Amino acid sequence: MTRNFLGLRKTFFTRRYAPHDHDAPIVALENVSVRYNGDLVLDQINFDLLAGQRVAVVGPNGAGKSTLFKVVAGLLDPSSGLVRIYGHEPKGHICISYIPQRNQVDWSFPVTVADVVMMGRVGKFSLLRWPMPQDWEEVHQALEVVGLEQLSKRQISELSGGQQQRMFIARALVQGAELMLMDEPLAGLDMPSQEGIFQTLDTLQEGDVTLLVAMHDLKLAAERFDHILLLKKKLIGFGSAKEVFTRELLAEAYGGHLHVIDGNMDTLAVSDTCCGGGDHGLD
Amino acid sequence: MAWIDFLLTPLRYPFMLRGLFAAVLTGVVCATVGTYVILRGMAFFGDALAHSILPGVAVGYLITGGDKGPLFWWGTGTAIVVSLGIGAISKGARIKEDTAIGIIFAGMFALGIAIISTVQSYTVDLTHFLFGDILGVSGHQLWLIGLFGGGIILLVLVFYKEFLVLTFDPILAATLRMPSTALEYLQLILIALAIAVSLQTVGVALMMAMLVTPSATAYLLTKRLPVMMILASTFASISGVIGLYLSYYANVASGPAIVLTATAFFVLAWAGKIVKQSVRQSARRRK
Repeated sequence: MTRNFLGLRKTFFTRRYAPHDHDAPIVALENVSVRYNGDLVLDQINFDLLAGQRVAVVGPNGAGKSTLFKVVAGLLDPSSGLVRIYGHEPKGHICISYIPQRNQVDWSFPVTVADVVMMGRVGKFSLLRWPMPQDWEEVHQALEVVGLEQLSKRQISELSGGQQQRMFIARALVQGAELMLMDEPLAGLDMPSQEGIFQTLDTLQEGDVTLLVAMHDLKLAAERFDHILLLKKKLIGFGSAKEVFTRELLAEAYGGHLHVIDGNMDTLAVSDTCCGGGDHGLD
Repeated sequence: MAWIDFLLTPLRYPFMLRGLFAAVLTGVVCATVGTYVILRGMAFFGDALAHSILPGVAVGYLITGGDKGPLFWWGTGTAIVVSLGIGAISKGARIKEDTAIGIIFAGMFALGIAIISTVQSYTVDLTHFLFGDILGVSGHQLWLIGLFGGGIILLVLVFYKEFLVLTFDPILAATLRMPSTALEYLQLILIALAIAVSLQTVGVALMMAMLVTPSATAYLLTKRLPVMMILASTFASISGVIGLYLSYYANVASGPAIVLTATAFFVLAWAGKIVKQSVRQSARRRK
């Protein structure tokens, strides 16, 4: 307690962060279980992610997707098991960016787009260090990458849903995030907005950012991600879409909520009808 | 020049001058801190905190036999203890946060009134605690207000970016490994200190208005946090000055006069915003 009272010493005086053991996987979970008030929310999860992997996290509502993200980001301690980011506890890392669901953000908050992106950078500042011109330069470069440089002085509620997501991606860039956890970034967005986000994510891929994206649209997951993580409290499947989207595994995750339609493709065409009030997949 | 006389006449009285200084200082402090109060949706917390320091002030009042000098310290001490207490309860509570705050708020307020009522001539002093006694501010108290107020503003400046991140996105604060808990408690302490500093100006019952109204007015008018703080401080100071003049000329109690002026600013800003919106909408319809 005296060594690091309320985290003061670490944050304000020495600012030491966990080292990156690059031989270790960027994310490693060993037998991770989480209980909330006695209910098992995550049950014995095991998986490793390698740097640069792009993973869609799918599963029915209440499958534990958000809890999984919180555990990986070090916001929540697992009840049992081990979480490691580059071989060390997640709590020491500032290379993890958690992009919240849009409805969890106060969009009327008096900040501009550039202000929000700058927030990603203040983690590296010591106390009393104010943003300098080179910091703003970096913010504007990040906004250019996501195509929002024209809107940098707008109040955040003036952005469309897709632009709001891209603003958070810019913030993750400025933060120097190596692992991005996106909680349903596509929810409520139209096709062009979704496309805009995927294009932005594609440019990140060149920078070797590891992505975990929670989503409901299984078809989009299969098309856009090299890896699928199918979750329902337990890890039902982890691998390519072909390996994970099998009739058996989907039935195990979704039960009767999912219509499994045989397609003429290698993968099954599926639609997750339990969430968002409609079909998200192929008909 | 009649209007110069109008402005200068009250200033001949030292108590009016001290009152004006106190009103401007507490206005700036409360409005700055109040910006966080409304952005974090803590208005009820602020109101409860203000009411809950009454028993501390009352005990001090009994012990010192009505001497007002030490009451500042009694108020400040109680405010810090209560704010940390409410903070701890709302973190670990099994009941809802606003319920817990409500129970503490009413209980502590009743306790304060009960203690004060044991003194024979309590009504006069109670009125001062409840609604403020800005014209009774002494030179010594003014120094204390300036010192503590300056300290609060300095801390807001020092922790500006940390408070901004914590208020807008607590999860980001956590992933950036900021000491969120310590910062949250520091924010609560700053609110508590602002309340203690303003006790003499508007009193316990109207404190909510000092914390919330000028900041809410500013919130309607700007899209940037620093601008919001500056605007809120300006509205609060001007309300303090106008309120005091109103109280001098219209013979109204000073605390309510200040609060009513601040409320009038809010109503104006709100009406202005509605007019602006409807003009914009009808312009759009014409297109």
